[in-house]
Amino acid sequence: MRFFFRIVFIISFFSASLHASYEDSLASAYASYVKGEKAKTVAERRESFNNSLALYSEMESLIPTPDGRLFLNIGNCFFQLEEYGWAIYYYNKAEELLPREARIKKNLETARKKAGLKVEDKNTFFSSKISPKEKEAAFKTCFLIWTVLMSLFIWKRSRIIQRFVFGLGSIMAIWGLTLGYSYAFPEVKGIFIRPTKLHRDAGEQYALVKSELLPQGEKVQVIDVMTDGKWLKVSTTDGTMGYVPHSAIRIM
Amino acid sequence: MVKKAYLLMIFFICNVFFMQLFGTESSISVAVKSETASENTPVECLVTIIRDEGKDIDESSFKMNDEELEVEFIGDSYQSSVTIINGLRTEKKLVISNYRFLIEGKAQGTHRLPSIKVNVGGKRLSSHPNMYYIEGGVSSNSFILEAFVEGGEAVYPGQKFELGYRIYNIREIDLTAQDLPLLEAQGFKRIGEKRGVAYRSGQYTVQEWKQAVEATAPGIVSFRPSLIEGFAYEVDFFGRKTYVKPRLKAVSEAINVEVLPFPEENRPASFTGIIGDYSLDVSLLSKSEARVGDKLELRVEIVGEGEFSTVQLPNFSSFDGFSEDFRFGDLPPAGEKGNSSLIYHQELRPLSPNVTSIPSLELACFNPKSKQYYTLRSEPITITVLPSELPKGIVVQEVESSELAGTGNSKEKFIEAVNWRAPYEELDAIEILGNYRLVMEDLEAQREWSIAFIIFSGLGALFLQTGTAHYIQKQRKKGKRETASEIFKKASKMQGEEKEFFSVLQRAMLLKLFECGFLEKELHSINEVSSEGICGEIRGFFRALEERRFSGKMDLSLAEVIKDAKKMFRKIEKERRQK
Repeated sequence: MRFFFRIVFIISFFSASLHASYEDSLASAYASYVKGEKAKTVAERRESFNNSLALYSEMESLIPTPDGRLFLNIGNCFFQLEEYGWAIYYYNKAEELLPREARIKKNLETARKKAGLKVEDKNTFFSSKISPKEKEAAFKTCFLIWTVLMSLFIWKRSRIIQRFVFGLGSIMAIWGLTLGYSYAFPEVKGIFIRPTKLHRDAGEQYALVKSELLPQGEKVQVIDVMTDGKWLKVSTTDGTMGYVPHSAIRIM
Repeated sequence: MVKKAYLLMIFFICNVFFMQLFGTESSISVAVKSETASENTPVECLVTIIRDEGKDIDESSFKMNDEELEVEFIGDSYQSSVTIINGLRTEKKLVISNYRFLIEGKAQGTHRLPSIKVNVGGKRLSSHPNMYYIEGGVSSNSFILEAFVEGGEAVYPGQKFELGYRIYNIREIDLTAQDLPLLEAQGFKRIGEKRGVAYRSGQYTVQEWKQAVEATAPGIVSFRPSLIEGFAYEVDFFGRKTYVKPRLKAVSEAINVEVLPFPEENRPASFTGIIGDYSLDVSLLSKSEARVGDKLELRVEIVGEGEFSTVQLPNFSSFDGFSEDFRFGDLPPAGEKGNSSLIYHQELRPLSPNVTSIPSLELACFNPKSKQYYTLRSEPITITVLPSELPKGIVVQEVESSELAGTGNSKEKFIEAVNWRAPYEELDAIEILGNYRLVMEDLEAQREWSIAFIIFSGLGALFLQTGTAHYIQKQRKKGKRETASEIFKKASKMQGEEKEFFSVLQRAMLLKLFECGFLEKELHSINEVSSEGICGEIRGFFRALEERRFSGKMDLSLAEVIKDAKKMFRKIEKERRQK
């Protein structure tokens, strides 16, 4: 028994220490960012934002399910360092998790303007305003309600309950199928972190699909990844398909 | 007394004699490993020195023909010996030291190795001279050595090519000697390790060895003739090798490789040694409109065939039009190597709104095939540079000419900007909304039930409830017993089914009698009922009914029978109350 308590104590001690060090990192990252905003020289600003970026990036790698706000913070650091491709990538990741957050939308718009991209068409459909996590939570709640109604129906055969059960059950089935489909066959999107050319095939030696470079920050659909992982087949917003090197794109 | 003295003296002399006999003298022997020695190749000799443990070898004293001999120490081994003489036990430890040295190669024939001398424990030891025989190898068409240079017919510094050998043999051969200077590649820079491949060519088995090299400096590099020797062998059923004499020898000719210097004629001043046949493409990755100090990014792509290791992006500052108008990133650009291309990304910032284009980039190259220089030039890239605004608070002072007295300056106004920074060092206004102040609670994942768990649990609970409800209903039906009144009601509804009606009616009456306590147990036939009392009356009622039914004189309708049966029912009830 004593041995067991000792083990528990040791694990708790280390967890607490780790937790405290993560807190310090977050606080230091924020302090660095604020220092960068108040910097008087370019060098000081760059140094502060770089420090902040390094700390936030470390937190991103340590935490299994990062929050949208962490992605926003990282995106801000990249924006301040004039890496607009990276900034747009992280803003998009943040928007996915927090679709109604105004700050993310504003910063994303500014970054896209800086990168010379057109204003993105706003998706006004209701589902785009709900994050995948929220959709999942709503589905779980509805399912629980349906289960309760169905239980009532089992013990008390009533026409009203029967109608509710049937109606809600139909909605649940369709909703469940669409959720299942979106998990099984997710649409893979990527964002260019630097300008790149679109080739006809997987290699620098192949001809270009278009002479203009694809700008950094542009979102594309990733269709395939070559066997060696060095080239990706993508489809741009205007439907043009081609191949880009893996170093120029990050998958959402 | 004298006799004793004589005996003692003899004993002492014998001891000395035996001690001398069995005492150890250091010794030296030399063996020549001529069996594997080839003509004109150095021959290995082994020196073995046996000595007492306390005696040291002076390695600098090795001599052959009174000349210093350089030896290589191989190792020591030890041997213990015990002698017992006249009861006196003596233990000696011997050290056997082994050395190796090489003597110069000799032609085929018998040769003499002179004595080898060395100091051991202060004493000079000398070996016996040795005779040894060098067997010459025999050239044969079944064993051929070919030396080759691939891609090195006319090379320039920086170019890569390969040196190698092909060994053709018909039978399996164990090599006993080899001298392959091309694989050492002295005079060139070796690239990686040598590579070997084996294949069949007709009746020959070919072993091919190649070493990739890079030419470093102009000049002629000569390689001496190459040699390999060995014995062919056959392998018997048990896997043992049987060597076939004579020793086979294969020799290839000496080879010279010339590294040509780059021609001086028409050599561009900016040429840095780039070799190959390339094309240059320079494109602007960032927007073509920028303010003074904004970062622009150039993509420089060099595509073609040649030695990409010789390609280096030149210092932009050295080009006309770059150093005055642009400032470059602190870090040098790193190249990304593709299959047949090299890509660089270069940052630069315009210093003035007067800059209208990014000038041409030039790269001087040399094509080894045409032996001509050529210069790659990119097209200028038009850009628009907007002026940056001076921040507020800049103080510009004009210094009057009177103050210039003694400074050597003329009457021009001397304008000094105080607290002015270069445009590219100006801080841009913050355009985005700031960071969130995060704590660990914000980032820790909320515990949530998995969606699959909820669905399966929910369906499982429903399934369980359905089963339970069904079971309860079944149990209820099983335990439920029909009363006499219920059976009678059922019979009353059977208007058209005469046979069934009388059977059910009889069952109702019998059950009623049982319920009211007139029967001890449930009976199934009216004939089992007693003839006395109310039971007898009921029995009589049914007998009368039966007589009427089977006599063919059924003059009562079922409704009347039911009416009479109801009366009997009430009578049974009445009798029960009276009881």
